[in-house]
Amino acid sequence: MSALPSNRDENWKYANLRALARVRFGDTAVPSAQDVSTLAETLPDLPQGNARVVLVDGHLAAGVSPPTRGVHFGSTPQDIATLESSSGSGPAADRYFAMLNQRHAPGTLSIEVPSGAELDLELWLAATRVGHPSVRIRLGEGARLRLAERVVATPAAAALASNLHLAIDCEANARLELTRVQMFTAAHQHIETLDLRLGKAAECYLTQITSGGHSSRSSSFVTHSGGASRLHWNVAMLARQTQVHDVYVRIAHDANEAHTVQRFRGIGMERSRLAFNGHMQVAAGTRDVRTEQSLKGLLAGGEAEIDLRPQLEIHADAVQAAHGATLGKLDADMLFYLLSRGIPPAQAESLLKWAFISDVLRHVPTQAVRRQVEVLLADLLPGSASARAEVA
Amino acid sequence: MLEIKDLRTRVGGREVLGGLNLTVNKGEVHAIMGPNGSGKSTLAYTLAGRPGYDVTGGTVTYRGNDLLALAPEERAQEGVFLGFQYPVEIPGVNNVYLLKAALNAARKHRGLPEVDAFEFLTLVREKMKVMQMDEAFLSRGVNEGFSGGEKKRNEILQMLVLEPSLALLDETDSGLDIDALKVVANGVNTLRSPERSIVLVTHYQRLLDYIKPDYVHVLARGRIIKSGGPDLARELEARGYDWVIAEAA
Repeated sequence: MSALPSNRDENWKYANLRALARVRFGDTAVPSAQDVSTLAETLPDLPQGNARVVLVDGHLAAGVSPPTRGVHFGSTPQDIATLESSSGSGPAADRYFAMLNQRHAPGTLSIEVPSGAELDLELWLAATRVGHPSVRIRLGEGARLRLAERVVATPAAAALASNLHLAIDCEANARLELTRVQMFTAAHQHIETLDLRLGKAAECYLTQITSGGHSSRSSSFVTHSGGASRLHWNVAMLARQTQVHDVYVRIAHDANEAHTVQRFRGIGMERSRLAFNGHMQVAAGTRDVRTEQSLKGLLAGGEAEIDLRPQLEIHADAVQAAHGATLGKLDADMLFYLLSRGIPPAQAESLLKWAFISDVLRHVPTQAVRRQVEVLLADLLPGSASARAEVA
Repeated sequence: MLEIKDLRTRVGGREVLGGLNLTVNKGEVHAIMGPNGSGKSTLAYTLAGRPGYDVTGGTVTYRGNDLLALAPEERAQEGVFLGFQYPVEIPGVNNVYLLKAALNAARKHRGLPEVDAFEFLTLVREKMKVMQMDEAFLSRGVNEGFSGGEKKRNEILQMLVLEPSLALLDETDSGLDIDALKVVANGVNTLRSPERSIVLVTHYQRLLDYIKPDYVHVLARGRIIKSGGPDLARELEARGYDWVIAEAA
């Protein structure tokens, strides 16, 4: 097994490893019936036609996960932690937590969408103590999956940690709409490894909203392997107090005409820290690959810190690669404009933060999902009643 | 309505307004004209409370109270409206929300309940007809992707919805073609009433062909150096500003 990463590792410079080092990532106990019952009460009604599956600390909560065709929970395959982007393995430290997950996960949730089939699924990842959720998704040719992933936690728990491994394989012409909402409770430390492979002409629209918690680290490894595949990777993060959120995404374009659009919008408030490291790779011998990277940070606290790192590693000639990273404070002209209309300062600032984040939200492909995310996000911003009114 | 006495404003360490005096009574329309850099926009921003426009002397009394003691949003809630020369774009905040939030902020300030959604939309649609604006503008981001003329119409739409007591319109005519100018002027004229006052900052006489001012003032080097009736604007159009500045020297 590889070594525990340290802040000297290039891809882990900003992660809150000191806090993670204090977590005892051992095997996970089966959650108590009381915890599952408490959790069940917090779950919203399931929209008609949708399916739901709930993992509690990595264990299947069968009582609140109605049986769904193609979805089953079983032993963890021994190959998934070692899935790598085919363009290079990268530093061994990047796989440490995936390996840890494989060792300790109580099982793996397998989601199979057969060729030509469609599935709408809610995936709830609940944390009550320390857990290792393991999820493997496979979309057959032309399959379509709308997956809404939500992280929830027992609010009263003193210390929580989750180490998620999510492995996704999209065959030719498959389409995945993955909406990830991670609203952590104060004590929650979350670490995750995401492996994604896109086959020929496959499409993936990923939107992720992360907020709250103690700290989080997300490592993603994406491979365009089949040609003419499309990836829209949109992440919005809000951090307050002393929270630390750190994201590393490596996207390997190993096939012709692969196209990636990546947007990151991060708001750092108070003394929080945010880091986004977006690493685009274009393999030698490919042609007509397109990448667009837009990383923006908003410093909304006197001692907040945001680190944005767009990286391009291009080994081919016929490539279109655009990237930009900007970091700034609330726009003084916009703020004055709102104030001059009588809007109180707290509400005006909240609106501008909303506007900043909405750049990510507007790209959620399904309107119903977009509205759900908007309502959840409105709760996070000061003056949320007003922001909610905007989306109501 | 508004009484400005010996107003001095510094911007970026430089004194731009150097002892400006102006009285605007209820129901009056005043046009402020003057060469570039004379302090016209500075006057508008100072009255609206823009940060960075530091008042170093003088007083501004608005409806009997010290306007300078109020924060920008309080001035707006008290009925002061600034129509921007260059309205900013705010993608992600839609027009209808801004209008509603602004209206509700003013109503809350006056101790009134929030506006009913149906009543609000009826009001906005009525005002949009005056401004000949398509309802699609409501769901767009504030000024996002608007042409120069559309931005100016949007400013006046906001003014019509908020019904301010004192409107400060900073070069509302700039960048407008003649048809848009008529629409904007019609919007401003709709607001005229014995209870409201309007201060128009402009470079050109042509706006005053459509919005008839009661008084015209020439602002130069941070002070009002000449005041007169509507004829003064026509004379300025014909002769320029040099003769007024020479006369005042």
